[in-house]
Amino acid sequence: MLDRITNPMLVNRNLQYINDNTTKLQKIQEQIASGKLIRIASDDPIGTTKSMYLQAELKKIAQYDKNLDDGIGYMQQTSSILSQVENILLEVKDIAESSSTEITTSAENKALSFQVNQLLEELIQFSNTKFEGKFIFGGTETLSGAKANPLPFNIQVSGSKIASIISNPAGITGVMNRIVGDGKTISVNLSGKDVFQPDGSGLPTDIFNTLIKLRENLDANDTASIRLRVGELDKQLTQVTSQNTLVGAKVNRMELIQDQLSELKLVQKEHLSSIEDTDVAEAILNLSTQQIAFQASLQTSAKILQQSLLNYI
Amino acid sequence: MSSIFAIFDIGVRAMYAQQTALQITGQNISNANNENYVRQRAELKEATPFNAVPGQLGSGVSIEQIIRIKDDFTDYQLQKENQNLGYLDEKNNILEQLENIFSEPSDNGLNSVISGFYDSLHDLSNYPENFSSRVMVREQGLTLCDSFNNTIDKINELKSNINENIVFKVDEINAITADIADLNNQISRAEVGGIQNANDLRNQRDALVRKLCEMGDIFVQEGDDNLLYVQLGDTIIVSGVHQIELKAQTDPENNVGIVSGDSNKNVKISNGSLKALFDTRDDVLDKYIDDLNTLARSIITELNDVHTGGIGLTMYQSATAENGAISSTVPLANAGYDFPVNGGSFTISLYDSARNLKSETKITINPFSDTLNDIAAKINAISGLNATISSDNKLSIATSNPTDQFSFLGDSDGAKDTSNFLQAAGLNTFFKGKDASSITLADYIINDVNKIATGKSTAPGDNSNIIEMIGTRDIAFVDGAKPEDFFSSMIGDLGVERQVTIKRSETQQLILSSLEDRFQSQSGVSFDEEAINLIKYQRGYQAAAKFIQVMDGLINSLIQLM
Repeated sequence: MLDRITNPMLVNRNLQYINDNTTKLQKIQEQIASGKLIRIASDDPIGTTKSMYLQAELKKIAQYDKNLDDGIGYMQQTSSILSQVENILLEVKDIAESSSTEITTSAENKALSFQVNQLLEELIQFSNTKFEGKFIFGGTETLSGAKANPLPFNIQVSGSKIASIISNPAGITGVMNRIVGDGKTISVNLSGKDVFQPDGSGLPTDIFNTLIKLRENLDANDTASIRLRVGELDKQLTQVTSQNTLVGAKVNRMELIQDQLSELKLVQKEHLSSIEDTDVAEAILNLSTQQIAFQASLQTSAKILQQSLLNYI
Repeated sequence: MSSIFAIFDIGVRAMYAQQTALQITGQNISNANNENYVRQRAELKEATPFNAVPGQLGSGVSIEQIIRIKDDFTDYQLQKENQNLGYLDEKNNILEQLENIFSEPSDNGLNSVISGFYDSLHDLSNYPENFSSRVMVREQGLTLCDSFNNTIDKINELKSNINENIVFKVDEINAITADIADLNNQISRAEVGGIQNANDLRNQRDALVRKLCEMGDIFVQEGDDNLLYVQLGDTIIVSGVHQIELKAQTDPENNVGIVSGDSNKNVKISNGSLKALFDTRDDVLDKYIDDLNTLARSIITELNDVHTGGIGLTMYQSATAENGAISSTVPLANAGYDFPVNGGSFTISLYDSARNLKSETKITINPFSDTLNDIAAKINAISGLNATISSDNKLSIATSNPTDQFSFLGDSDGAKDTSNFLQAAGLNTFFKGKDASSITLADYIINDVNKIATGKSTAPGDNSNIIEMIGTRDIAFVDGAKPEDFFSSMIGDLGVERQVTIKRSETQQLILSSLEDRFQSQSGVSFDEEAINLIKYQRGYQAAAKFIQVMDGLINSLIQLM
């Protein structure tokens, strides 16, 4: 304990108290105004590291969400095209069935054959559908190349009729992935091969081949072969439907991941907020306490510093 | 018995003594707000008595000396603690500036730029064919590089500020030591013979010493001749009435050092703000520069390694290496590349304009025997490809048929470069440069975003390579940490370092202010005390005057007798 209190001491001490109080006030004021507890790393180094990590995580989650949105859009478009393909196949099957079960004249069959050809053209169009400028069923060959057969499915014409379909020789099976989590990817495209099975050698699974053959069978009025086509079409319908189901299942899975992500986002946001955001109620309480302390220091300073023996002599 | 007139002398002496004491009271009051002032006091003592019977008889009062009231130990402690505070304050100041350079946590620091870059890669992986998503990757890539460059630039700027600050402080020290030497001269002359105390000059000298202490580890010693000898670290800077100037000397790396103007020897400083400036410049800042360089170099290496194994939306009709060798005739291992070339091979696949494979050639490299000329010869041996070497030893590859194109990936086996030659020479890389100050995007990426290698095949929708690039984000490739974790722990370290400095500086401030209190308690001026002194000496003076008046009355009575 110092027994001799001099004026400079009094002045210095009071000044120090006032400064301390102003600094504290300013800090609380800053926290309230900015809404952040951490302005700079040294305010809370561990909190800073956590906050940087969480901010990066949140951005990652937002990006995964975006990737999923994009993938889901892509798959929904795929699914709607597959439904159109199913419709065409159903229509073709109807034609084949009516021709094979009812007694039809060759003229009627000619008309049906014309209809099938039209449906075939439509089917080819669907198989070459673009979504956002990219072929849906072209694998990773999403753009028309400069090659001889640039589309995923190219028409070979004999006479004036579609004779066969040649798929892009660069391949239509390439897989396109979307990143949906740390090190997690999901493929979003269906291989054109899995859907249409264009192998050119006339296997019963090749949808284009079946339609071309059906057209020829109708032209030739060959009821027995038409019956065979009906059987093929049945299997192909299952093939397309199962692909569509696969797409649906994947969309479901992606939506589930999105749900999980949005839950994770909430949790991490809350965590981040608890680290770096000001608790305004608490801060305002601190502010008023600090204000009182500040006022007290000002008042006592004003009183004490005025007292002097000089006032009385 | 003494003469009655001699008794007057007692009165005169008393009045003179009180008057002097009052003058000192006035001096004390005037300097009450001078923080370096040490209060003074007139030491009164009995004047020399003379012998008489009965004796001895006093002859009044005299002023023995005017002294400063102070404690040398407090002074010494203040000097020491000021050195510590000078060190901590300066260090805190530099660390604060460094923190502001990184400005984390924020939405525009390096951390979010890294995030933004990876985000743009994600968008590109969703749309590898899109020009706009490629442009985004280029822009985000450039932003990432700029952030690295700017951060390093700013740290270097801080470094040169520190150097300027050291020069400035050397000037300040020289000015102070000149003043001290001058005061030494005045004090020794004033105090010669031991009759006077040069109190006010000593106050000034003490204040200068304290100012010096903030800057370095100062040792002072007062000689018998009342001269103050001042030493900074291991170097004498005031020797009696002579100042020994310090000189700031810039070394080849543009770092400023301090040498004695006398001996040209380096001054070793171990405390105070100068020590903080040297420490932060040579250790702290360099550590963060090194860390940033490690981070940038790891990102360059890791992402380029993936990128060189991919194919862009368009392949190369011609490709020129970004980096030149020191010579085209020395083995690649010694060719001065920033990245090592290992034993291994890379493949060049040549295609026609319709992406039909024409040839696929594996080029094996032995870095200890193959020179750049050898590599060029091996490429020239491929029909349809020409390799040339520029005057600055950069390898260029071009197709002979202008519509042909080539990639650096095995078409059949997807084999990528195992020799690291592509990365070293800067072919089909994403970044170029070797550290945080030189990192930028490869020229061919800046000029043609279609060269960003998204796929591992010639198919435009292939996004497998970009997915692999994104995957690097979760690989601990920077000194055993993921890139963002590495950076955030760097910022955490800085935060802790500054927090510790602030805490220590606060403690130091407390120690110092209690010492200041002690100093002011001993040596500061108290108005109340001076007011009492004022009255005391006033009364003393009045009494002495009264005494003379009475004596005058006595003499008057004596004269009346005549």
